[in-house]
Amino acid sequence: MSANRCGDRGRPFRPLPDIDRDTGLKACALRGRTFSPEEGMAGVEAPACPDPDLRGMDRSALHGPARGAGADSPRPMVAQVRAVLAREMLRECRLCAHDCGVDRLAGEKGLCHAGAGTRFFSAQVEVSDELELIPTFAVALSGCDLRCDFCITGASSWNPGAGLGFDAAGMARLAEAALADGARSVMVLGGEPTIHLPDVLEFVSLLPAGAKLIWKTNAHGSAEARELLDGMFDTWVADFKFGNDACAQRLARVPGYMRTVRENLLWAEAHSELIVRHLLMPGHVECCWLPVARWLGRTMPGVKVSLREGFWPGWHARRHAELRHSVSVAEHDFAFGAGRELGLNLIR
Amino acid sequence: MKSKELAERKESAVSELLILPGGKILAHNLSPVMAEVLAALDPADETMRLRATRNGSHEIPN
Repeated sequence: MSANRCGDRGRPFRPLPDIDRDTGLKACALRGRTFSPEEGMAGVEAPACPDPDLRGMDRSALHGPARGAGADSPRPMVAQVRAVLAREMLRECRLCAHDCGVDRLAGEKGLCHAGAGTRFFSAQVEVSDELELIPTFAVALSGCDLRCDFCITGASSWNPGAGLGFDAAGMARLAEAALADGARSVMVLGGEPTIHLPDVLEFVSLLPAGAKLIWKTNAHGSAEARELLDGMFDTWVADFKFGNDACAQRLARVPGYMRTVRENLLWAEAHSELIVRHLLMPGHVECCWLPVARWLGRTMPGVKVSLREGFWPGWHARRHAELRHSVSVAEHDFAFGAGRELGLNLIR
Repeated sequence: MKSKELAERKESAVSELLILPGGKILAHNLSPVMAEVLAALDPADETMRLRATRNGSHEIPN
């Protein structure tokens, strides 16, 4: 393999093992760029596709996103193939921006501590999300790549071993039943679902092609993860939690937050419906909400913004003096007023 | 089987509430049933009413 460098970090590209070179999704396509069939694959060992059933499928579905839900959408088929690729990527996991590179299939663990399997801690119909999405069948996967001290589901979100084992087929049956019973959408969340992309994609492959699928994320995924997600979800509900890197580092132990989140939001806006969420936090209106609001108003005019007011001082919030109480009425009113003044498309 | 599984899920749906000293109620993982309860507690809360009435196949215009 020549010294191709892929993605936006200038990292040397290392071809993924066990991927069928004929599937059209070359390893490097998952790392931020796309190779043509004639380009750059010389020297890549190409063992047989790990799932023999994929060999006879229509590979045209692999090229380009499977966007647009509908009975004829190729999404389930594309998701099935990508699930196989995503599982292979666990051998050198770079699904999130922490870029650990650990071999999760061999038992190594990165910052999220997730292994090869997936667990979930909640799966039920809920009505607490944005009105245009509810009722939604919400599946919350255990484990996360961030360490937000104020996480309301911290016990499960910080622990990928929490909850029950995730069975994609069984969960898809529950989701289908919920849809038949009136649920408007299926939402995959966490923790952070990005770290569980192999099982998420398998789940998607088993859902009806026309189902409205929602990706609820902390927007800290990598370019590789975005490639796998392209066209898989109709709507991204993406958090923009902090307005500066210092607060992100102090409250969630995440470096380089602003750059990563902005990159993900810009991508999501270009590739799907997007709702940007910001959880109002006490003492963080000026340092976090205002910069977020200004950037959204300037960079993504018209994007749907969901300013959430349900902060409560749970989990490890008490480690931070300003997070030991709820948002004041004055902070609430100022925040919403600022959002309106900046012309944001605030939704409920 | 599907209906049974879903029925069991509905019965075991979990919502978390935090009641603040001023009487404000914060809800997390709000289930349709809990939304109906909260909407009944405060009929003036339009957002909660919308959440409650979006349960199942009932549609409320945006």
